[in-house]
Amino acid sequence: MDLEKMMELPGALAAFTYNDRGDLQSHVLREGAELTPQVLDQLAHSCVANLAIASMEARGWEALTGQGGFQPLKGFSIVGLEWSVVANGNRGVVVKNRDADYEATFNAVQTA
Amino acid sequence: MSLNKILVLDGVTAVCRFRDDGAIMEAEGMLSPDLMERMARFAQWYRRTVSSNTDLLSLFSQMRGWSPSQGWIVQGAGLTVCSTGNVVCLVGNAQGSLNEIMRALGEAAHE
Amino acid sequence: MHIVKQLMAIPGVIAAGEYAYRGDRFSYEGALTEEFARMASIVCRANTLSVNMQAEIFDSFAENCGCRPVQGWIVRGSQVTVCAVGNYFSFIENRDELLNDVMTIMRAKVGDVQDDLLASLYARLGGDTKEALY
Repeated sequence: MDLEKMMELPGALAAFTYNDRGDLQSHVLREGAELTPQVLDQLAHSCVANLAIASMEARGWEALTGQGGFQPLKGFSIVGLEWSVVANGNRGVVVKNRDADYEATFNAVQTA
Repeated sequence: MSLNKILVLDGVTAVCRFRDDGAIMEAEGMLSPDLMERMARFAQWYRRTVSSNTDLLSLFSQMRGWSPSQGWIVQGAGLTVCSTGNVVCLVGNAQGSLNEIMRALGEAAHE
Repeated sequence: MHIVKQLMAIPGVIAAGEYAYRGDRFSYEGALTEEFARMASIVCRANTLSVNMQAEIFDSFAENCGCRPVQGWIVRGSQVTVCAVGNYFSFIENRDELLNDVMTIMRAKVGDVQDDLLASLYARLGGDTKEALY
């Protein structure tokens, strides 16, 4: 799903892509959103870190418990006070909590 | 141990001892009060984060020896931040000997 | 109704519980063993610490940007999802609409997590963030 399409998600404030190191590569910001490209770059780095940690946890959990269902990971979200960021792979979306549809947003960040 | 014993080590430019809520207990070195406070808060967060990631590693690897974590090191291009317990210091890479500094930090943290 | 009981009443919720920030105290209901629940508690603690630290860093770049205080996090697996709000967690199946329902209930029941979640979690266990540990 491209960035413009991701901006149609309920509550979308920003949509962005990043490389494997977390450097921001492209972004779209909703006009009036109190987010800057600098914050998005920070967010992108945290997305990479969080996805890596979550992958480690999923792998460790499945190996130790024998319970499946976590891998392959489909994303990670930080739920802030007013907005949440949902990310998977190399893309992320920031959505306003009030309007957020987490399922649709997680679906939107899956790689095609 | 007075933090000065760490400050005199080659490469160390600043050192501080922080409380569990991030407040500074004592600080020495060439860092502005604002940056010293930021370093202390960063170190406090990092200690907690490393401690819980160590717990995870311990849990998933089922190996003894990881937990409880003692400290951490973040090495940048020219500067390094290292910490043991509730003492953290800033080191210039060109001169510092991490082995010596970590040893000294370990002694300071247990006083 | 207590949040854990309310969550467990929903089809597709595998387990739900409460985790402690400090120490291994936790409680749970559902399809977890005591040991798995303890492990879940450790995982939840690690992620909560991590996202709280990240929010503080974001805040230093853009004060009041809408992230702090962090309310929780979600790990979306291929068939199972873990949600954490405050010090409550749930393991749920990836059924249609379930994640949205669970998040709505958790956020509503927990209320807005106030600043310094960690201090309040410490306090619940009788800890004191002002105490010098060394």
